[in-house]
Amino acid sequence: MLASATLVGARPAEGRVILQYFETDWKEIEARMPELAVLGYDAIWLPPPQKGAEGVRDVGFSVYDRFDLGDQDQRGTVRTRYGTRAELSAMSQAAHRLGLRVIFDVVMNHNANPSQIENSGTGLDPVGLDVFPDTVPLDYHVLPARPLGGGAYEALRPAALGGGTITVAPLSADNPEPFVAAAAMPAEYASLFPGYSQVIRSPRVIFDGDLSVFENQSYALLGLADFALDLDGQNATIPVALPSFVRQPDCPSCYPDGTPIAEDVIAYILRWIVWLRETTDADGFRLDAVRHVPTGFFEVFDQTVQDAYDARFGHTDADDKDVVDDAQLFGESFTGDIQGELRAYNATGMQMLNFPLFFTLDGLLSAGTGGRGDLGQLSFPQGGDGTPLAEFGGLGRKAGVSFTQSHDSPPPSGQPNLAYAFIMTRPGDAVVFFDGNNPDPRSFVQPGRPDALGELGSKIIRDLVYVHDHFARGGMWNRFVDDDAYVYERVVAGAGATLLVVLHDNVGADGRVDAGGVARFDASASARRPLVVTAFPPGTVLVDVTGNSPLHETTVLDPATVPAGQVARALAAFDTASDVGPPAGFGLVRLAVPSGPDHGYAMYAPRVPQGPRSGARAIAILQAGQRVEDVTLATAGEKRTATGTRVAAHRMTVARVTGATVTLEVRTDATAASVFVELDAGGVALAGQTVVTGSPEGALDGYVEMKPAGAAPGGELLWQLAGVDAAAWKDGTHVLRARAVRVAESGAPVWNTFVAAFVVDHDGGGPGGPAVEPLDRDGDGVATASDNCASRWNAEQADFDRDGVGDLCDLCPLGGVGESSLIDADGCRVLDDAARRSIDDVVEAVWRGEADVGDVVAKVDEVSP
Amino acid sequence: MRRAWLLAMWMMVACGGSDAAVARAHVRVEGRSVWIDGDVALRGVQLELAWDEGVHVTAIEPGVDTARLDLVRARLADDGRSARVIVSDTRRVALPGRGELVHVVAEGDGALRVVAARAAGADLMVEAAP
Repeated sequence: MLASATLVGARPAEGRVILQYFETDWKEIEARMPELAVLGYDAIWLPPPQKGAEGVRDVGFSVYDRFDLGDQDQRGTVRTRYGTRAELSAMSQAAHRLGLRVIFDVVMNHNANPSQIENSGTGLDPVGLDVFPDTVPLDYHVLPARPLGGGAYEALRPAALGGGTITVAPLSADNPEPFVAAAAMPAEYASLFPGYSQVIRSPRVIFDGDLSVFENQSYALLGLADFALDLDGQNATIPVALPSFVRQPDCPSCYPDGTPIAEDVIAYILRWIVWLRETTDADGFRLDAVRHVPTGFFEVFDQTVQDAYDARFGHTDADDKDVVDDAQLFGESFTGDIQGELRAYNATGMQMLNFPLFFTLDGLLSAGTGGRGDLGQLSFPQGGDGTPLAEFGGLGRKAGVSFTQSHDSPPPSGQPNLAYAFIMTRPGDAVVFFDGNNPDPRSFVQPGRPDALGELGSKIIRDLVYVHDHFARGGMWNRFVDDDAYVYERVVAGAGATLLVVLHDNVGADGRVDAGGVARFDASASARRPLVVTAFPPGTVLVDVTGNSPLHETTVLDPATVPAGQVARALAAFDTASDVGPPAGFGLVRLAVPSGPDHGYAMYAPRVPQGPRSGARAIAILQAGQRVEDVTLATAGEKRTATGTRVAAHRMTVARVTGATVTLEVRTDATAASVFVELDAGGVALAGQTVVTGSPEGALDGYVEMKPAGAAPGGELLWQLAGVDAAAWKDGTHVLRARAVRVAESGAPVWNTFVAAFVVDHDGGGPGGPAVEPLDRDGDGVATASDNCASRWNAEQADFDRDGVGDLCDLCPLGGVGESSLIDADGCRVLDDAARRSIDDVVEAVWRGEADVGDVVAKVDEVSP
Repeated sequence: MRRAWLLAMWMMVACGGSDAAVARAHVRVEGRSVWIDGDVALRGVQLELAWDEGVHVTAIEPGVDTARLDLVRARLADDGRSARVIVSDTRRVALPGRGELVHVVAEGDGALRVVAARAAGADLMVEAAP
């Protein structure tokens, strides 16, 4: 058995998997948090949390009031699209309790009108330039103007663009709205601009023109109200100083020391982001549209956030740009210009969304390419163990946050799974996009991965997150590259290889796909599978974790046992792929990978300890020597995907702890050398055990070691921690993670992680505390665990079609296809036309005052089955 | 926040032989939303809404909690200052006991009010703004 001292010290999986979780209310995200923890996500990226101009329907990018998180009655609603401020806080706390980071999207470039940005249909009137809370028109980029009639204005053009005048008219390229956003010229400036009684919003950025930096950063993106974040203190589009005044005299708590002070718009934004971080306890921010704000602003902004973050957590690290003990900031700059624009913004202290890689993947894997793209584009420049600004088809591992689809952009239309396979095994952070309960996938927000949380029985994303968390570690090295196939390995420096990935983009009938649909990616076209150089030592058994390859297991061969010709071919192929020589003590491995478009990848890793062969849960919680009982949590309601597929309501069966002392037990196969366990976010000295710190890769930091407890039948091993004090565990949802570790043949520690969500319910769900969370989310008196419509008050639990989904949550409360000849577009049974008409007749009578709702219900009872 | 409970109206409606006056629920306005709070699953609610002159209503839509109901209708009065709303379901799906009944899409300054409400099968109290 391996000594634990050797294991305390394996390094963690590199990079984070960030779930971009949009179009879902805070309450549901909170309810699903245990699922996210079990799947292995590290962080959630959430939409802008403040009140938007389109009120309860605003996705969040149309910023209206930065300090309204769903607690002020504005724009027709108190709650935001996602809920109230209290619900937001509860969600954030739940994430932190289970060890997930919380990242909010934020917009510094603009405030916005509802009709000018990304909301699906608008119902509210535009917000005047002088109406946004806390600001005045000269906080924005505006031009002195005078009306010309017909809604048009003559405006003074900024000196930076040559001066003179321009005409800005409604429904023009400069101003696509049916009006020109205008406000009165402040009296104190009237003498500076004689004859110009108004200010108008600076024209729209027109991207297909010759775009100057000035226009990009000082004109209005999409026609939005563009903030004058001009560090010299002068508004760039109108030659006056930025106004400074007390912006929130009635909100002392909005100020860091409780005293409202005068400030310009730059100081206002900086104060807001600190307030937002503290109010939401955010761990970072995704920064929208950074290229439309000068880099100088972000130098100040980034440092302000990091200082606030360090103060919150007591961090003292001097480097605020290494993403270690730092708030995570990553910016959106829709460009592939690594050495220019992206380098400049990255230098301010933020990571950048990896648009260069996004563009590369889109070009390679869109449906139009049919697999004819050059997959080798992903292989250079080879980053190895370094941290360059550019590597492997895009930004480097520290500089970039890789993604392949988002709320703005669809994934590659041909082979989206292959794109995910690459970003999840490449070094650095990666994003999975989930659009939750998207009400209208035909418009903004774009559809996300429907299976991001394992829906529809899909294991694709689940397996990729697992691979990322367990094997995508250390440096990345090329092994084989041509235009159709790319083989690379992840190798932990000083330890050994942990992962071998093979990607293949050919689809359909192709000369390099054999009759079995498996790629023959060796250019030599040998009848046998090609051999590839590997850092895994001879004798290592590698297992395809994805299950895609017909070669589920493959054993690394000793070159000395392989015919010289085959060794030479493998080395020649390696030489064309790699900037460096073969790894010391290399082996050769035979690979197979399916053709595209759905599963054109395989991921080989060393064997890791497994749980019970019976399929039982590996982690057990015992009270008084007995397993605690299970309860069921309803975590999400029924929904449909963007393509109309019905997704059933989600439930989790979890253990329920009621006692003050428990025993934790883990069962593994005989390959586990040690087992470590952590509660929630880690760092808890369970049963008085020492919490691990400073382990290599940080893989076991926060865990405590479990004690061997003998063998179970079948040669399996038991590991225990007895006498764990659970009295202080807060009622609600928690998670246990157990890592069973062995040292692979390569020398690198490898592990399997068993994760178990459970609920603590010390008071048995009685009064006096929140009890089991979410015991009764909708307050209808039916425990969430057994509620057939957990998000809506339905005490009667009506379920007409007896499908287990309460009528109030059921897309088809009467049942669906096969039960009636009257089926609507959703496949749901409906009333016949005559019945509907008779009900409509009563409704018309209500409008005339000749009937009331009681008559409507009576008619429904008469004609409805 | 409006916290004063003011009983504006009791409306008793007997319907379909059901036991009226057994269960009670409150209807209230928060922002542009009309909410119901009660302990009974009603089969239908009829609301008489009105709003201040400065409010411009463009639509009345199902609330978050009534999104699955298939009979949420509204008729605006000719003067543009009031509307009659029915919230029910042709498949006999009951309303949520608590939650957002309807959302009023509107612009401008001013208050929205429920001036009357009735339910099929229960008493309905209207909580008015102070």
